[in-house]
Parts: sequence; structure tokens; C-alpha cells
Amino acid sequence: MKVHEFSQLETKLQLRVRESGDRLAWFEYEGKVITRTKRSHGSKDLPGHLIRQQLKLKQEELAGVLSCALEYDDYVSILKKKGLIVPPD
Amino acid sequence: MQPMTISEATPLGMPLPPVTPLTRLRSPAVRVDADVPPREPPELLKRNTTAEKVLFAPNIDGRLKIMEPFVVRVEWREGLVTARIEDIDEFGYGCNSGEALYDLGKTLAELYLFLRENADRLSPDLHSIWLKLSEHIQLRQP
Repeated sequence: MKVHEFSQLETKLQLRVRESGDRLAWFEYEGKVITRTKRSHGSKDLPGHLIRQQLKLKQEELAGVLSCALEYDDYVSILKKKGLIVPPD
Repeated sequence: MQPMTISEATPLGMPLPPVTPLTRLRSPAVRVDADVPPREPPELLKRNTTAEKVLFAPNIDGRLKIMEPFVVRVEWREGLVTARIEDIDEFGYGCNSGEALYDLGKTLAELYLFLRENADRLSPDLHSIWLKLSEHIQLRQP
């Protein structure tokens, strides 16, 4: 994965980011932190398979996000299907 | 096969005559039985060509202390070295294993502080990661 693809993920999935030593990015839904990932400064190539796993996406789902076939709402559905977004008590 | 006897040397370099040990614990000579099969290395240290596991307890941040080391899987993949803790699904990466482990150390500190700050609004998945991470890392008392 390239840095610009990571930036694409941040935008498409509306990830929140924090610049610290690394760039920490996380996905929030209804005030809850659901998934998180990161990229290190200075690296051109990123371990896409590990970033994908942290975002709880399958290979084809990640490809879908990068190719604009999947959007924010689709990501929410994916997380709901996987039981990572649970309805409040 | 005959057991081998390895003798110590005197300060002047003259070898001591082999002495049969009176006890196993206070022996001037070490007896090595050649028939003893080599010990199997611990599972953690077994290597293959693309990955290895190491115990990792970095000094990651002055505010934090490591209570228990992490088992880290270091892998070489597509020109990139990754250091991953499978238990908490966290990783570092770089051009070599030193860089990857250093990156992992920084990430662990950031992750710990981030999860601590947001502990009351974590998904169940991240909450379980937070609990596991807390077994390894704690905040230093001021």
C-alpha cells in the first residue's frame, strides 16, 4: 500500500487522525471508537495487509474502498455485519 | 562413547589435572556426556526462512513501564520488515527488523495512551485489546 492510498482510506472512511510520532487513524461511529490503524512517517510503502486487518476489511473490501466502489456507509454495514458495531444497550 | 572431561586452566595457563567432582554443584571440572542428545530449542526461538518470534520489552516512553514482554513476530514480506504482536493486532514496520521494532515500540506507547484516553468509549473489540495491553504496560507513578 502506498501513502496516497492510505490517505484515500482516511478520506473515504472518514477516519479521524492524530499526528504524533506516527499518524494514528481511527474510525468512530456514534461516539464509539470502533477500529484503528496507523502509518509511520517517512515510509513510502506500508504493510497493506496489516492495515486492512486492523480496519477489519477483507482484501476485496479494501480494494473496493480504494476503487471508490465502497463508501462510508458500506464500511458501517461491514462493521455491523461483523458485530463490531453493536447497538447501544 | 566415552564421556569427555573439560578441565579448567590455572592463571599461568597450565592445565589442571582432571579431577572427579565430589559433588555436582561444586565441581572444578565439567563432565559432558557425549550421548546426551542436543536440547530442543524453545518454540519461541525456532526459526523459518521468512519469520521469527522474539520477546520484546522496549523502553517505549518515559511515562510508561513494561510489566510483561510481548511476543513479537518479525516477518519479511515484499521488501518490508514488519514486527507484529498478534494478541493485540498491532505492528511496526521498516526497512529492517531494528526499524520495525523501534516503530512498534513507538506505536505501542501511542496506542496505550490513546486507548487509555478513550477507555470509556471503545468498541468491545478495542476494549479487549485495551485490557490485554494493560497487562503488559502500565503508567509510571509520578
